[in-house]
Amino acid sequence: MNAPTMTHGIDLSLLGRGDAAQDVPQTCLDVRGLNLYYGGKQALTDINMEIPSQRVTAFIGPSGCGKSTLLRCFNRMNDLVDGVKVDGQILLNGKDIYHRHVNVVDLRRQVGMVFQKPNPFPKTVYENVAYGLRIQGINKRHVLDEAVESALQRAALWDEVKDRLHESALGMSGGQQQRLVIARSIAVEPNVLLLDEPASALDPISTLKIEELITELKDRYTILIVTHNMQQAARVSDYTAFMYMGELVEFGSTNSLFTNPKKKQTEDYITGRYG
Amino acid sequence: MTRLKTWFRSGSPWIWLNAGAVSISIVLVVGLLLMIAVRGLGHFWPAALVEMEVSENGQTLTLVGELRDSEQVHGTVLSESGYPGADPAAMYTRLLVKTGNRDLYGSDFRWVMEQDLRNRRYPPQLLAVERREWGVLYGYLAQVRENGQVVASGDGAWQVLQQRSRRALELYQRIRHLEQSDIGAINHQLERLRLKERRRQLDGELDAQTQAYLAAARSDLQSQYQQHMSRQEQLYQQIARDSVVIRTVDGREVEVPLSKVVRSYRPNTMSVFAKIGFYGEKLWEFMADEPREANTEGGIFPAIFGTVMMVIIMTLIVTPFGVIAAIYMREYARQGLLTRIIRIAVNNLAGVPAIVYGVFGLGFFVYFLGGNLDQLFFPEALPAPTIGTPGLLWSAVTLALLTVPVVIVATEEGLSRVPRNIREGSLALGATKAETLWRTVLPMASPAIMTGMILAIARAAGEVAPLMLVGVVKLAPSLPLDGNAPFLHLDRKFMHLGFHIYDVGFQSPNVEAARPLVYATALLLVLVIVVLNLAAISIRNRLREKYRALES
Repeated sequence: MNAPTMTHGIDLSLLGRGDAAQDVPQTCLDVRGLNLYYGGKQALTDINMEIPSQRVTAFIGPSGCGKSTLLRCFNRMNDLVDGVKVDGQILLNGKDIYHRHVNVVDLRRQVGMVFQKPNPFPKTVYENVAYGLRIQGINKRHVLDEAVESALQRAALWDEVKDRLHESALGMSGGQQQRLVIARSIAVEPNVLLLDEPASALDPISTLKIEELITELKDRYTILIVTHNMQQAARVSDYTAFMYMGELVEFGSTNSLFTNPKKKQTEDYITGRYG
Repeated sequence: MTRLKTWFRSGSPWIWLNAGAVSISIVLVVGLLLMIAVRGLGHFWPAALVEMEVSENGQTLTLVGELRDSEQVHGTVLSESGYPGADPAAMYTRLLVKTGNRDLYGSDFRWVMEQDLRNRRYPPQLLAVERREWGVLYGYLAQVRENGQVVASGDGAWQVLQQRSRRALELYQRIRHLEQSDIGAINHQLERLRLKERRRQLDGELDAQTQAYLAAARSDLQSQYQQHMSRQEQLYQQIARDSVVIRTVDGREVEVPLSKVVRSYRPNTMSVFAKIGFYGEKLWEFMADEPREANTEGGIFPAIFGTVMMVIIMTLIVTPFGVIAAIYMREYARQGLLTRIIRIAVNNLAGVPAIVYGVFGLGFFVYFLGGNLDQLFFPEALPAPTIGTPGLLWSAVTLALLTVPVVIVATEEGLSRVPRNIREGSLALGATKAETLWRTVLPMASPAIMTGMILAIARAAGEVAPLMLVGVVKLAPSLPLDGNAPFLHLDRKFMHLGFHIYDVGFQSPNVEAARPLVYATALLLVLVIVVLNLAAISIRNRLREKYRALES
């Protein structure tokens, strides 16, 4: 398999990861010639990229550049929008997710998503986390109990909510709600986690907690994060993609992209000249 | 000038206008409730009985009765109506006296000029006897008789009368129970046997074995019937034993069998507490008993029961129907011209006059649908219709049709208010659209659905016009719910508070007697609607509390 490092000619030593040299990451999502149209308007133009497994990949770019749209392609959330047409391929572990025979419901179990605004269901904390499992028909009490506890622990929320599992999730703070939504997503054991500006509606301390959480979670999941905040991208991600006007301008290791951008547009954006 | 201008600019006139509109509305609503409450509830209070002399046309006659009303009349009106010696310039006071004794005088009420009245007095012995027929009888207790023999007479007979009245009432209850439950059940079973036989006959399966079985069952029921009949005969003999003789104020004696007496009382000797007790008893009778005397006496329980029952069945039909329709229109149908037209049509459906729904219900539900169902499922009872006749079910269905737009509109509103990110959150977890709908969207829309239901109940409970065509009657022989299988009789006709008001107020032979009942029934109708609404509102508020938040 091609590693992104090779296609983009990035020197692995610049990644700043001690173990990077030993285990070259596998490709998890392989985007090939992806175009997306809203009605007659083209929103994404010829995107090609290989997103490595068990790493954090950040998407940055000015508003309206298509980064959220691209993210929503990975779990086919764009299917819900009227008049959207997609061509090209996205291979998840080698299989095209836009193939006719792909079951979208199964795909979304493998590719979890967390949205910009915390969106817990108006149910108890417990039921929020158990939601995805109940949909899969798992209703055994002890199975659910275990899954809920482990998901909440992985989302670093267990200690805060273990005494109020059966209270409404709507009573929690915004940061807690966002971590609950992450717990809800990882409870169904996905391979990929899509985070669409997960901290933009939160205060700095909650943001910090979410960032710590992302770092912890990347051992088990491939994480894709869309962010407006370049410091955040620099802090949490291993790879960064810069998008502009529906095109992928530059994709590479975070370290090299921020310290040594190849393209003029990227440099202008990260130095704050526009965006 | 400038001060006026600043006053206008400050917005105060606008606030005054708003506050004024609100207070006028409140005054109107409170005034309406107070008026029907006072007029309706006063009826049950035991008024004092007055004995008085009236000189009319040179003659003097003695009257006994309750003073019910008084009004000012212009002299010209009086002289035109033949009252001699009325001064056209003066105002006169006219009193409405309830004289009772309809069997003797021909009517319960008469108007008397106040100036003709002499010598009002309140004799404590004056007795009022409420009868099952002919209304109330006022007079003095003369005798109590047993099988025609006098057992007590004069004022000492009061205790005896009370004792024997209690016995008669108890016997009356037993007779009614026997007739309605036991004999009623046997009649029901006999009818079912007859239908079974007819059915077999129609299917050509009436063999000797079945016939023998039916004959045996029938003779068994017949013998039970005979037992009940002889028991009934006995009870009738027992209840016919006693009678009371009342001497009216003009000297006539009336013998009333105690089986016809509901209660007898002496209002002029009652203490305030006794009157309160009596009031409570009358009020309870009004709410819990069946009507008597062409609905002008007794209670309205069947009407309350019928109203509540019909509204509940209507709700059970309209809610699922409306919710499912709204889900389709909002969640599944492609939003285009067609959905817009359908939505407009649904909204306009709410504006169609109610009586039109009644006509449609009669033509489509009762005759067409009911008639065909009869052909299919109940051919044995034909030509007598089973379900193809106005009844509880068709009334509920017709009103459900009338209120379904309200439920659809409210549900659509609720569905559209469920945030998009909640739906996406559920879909992102691998839920299908249907699972998202059932597990997240519908629960969150449930307060709005309840709102639709509340509006539907409020509209349906007060609707009378369409019901007159599809199932409401003046007097239903039995409640739609009883002890005979299948217990809930959707094919039966029923009584309704709204129609009861209309019937008592406009169709009654005894308008004066019925008028307070119109108010009392109206008050009860309002109360029933309020109770139904409060129940629904409290459920909705609980749901709303549960799904609160997410609003930011």
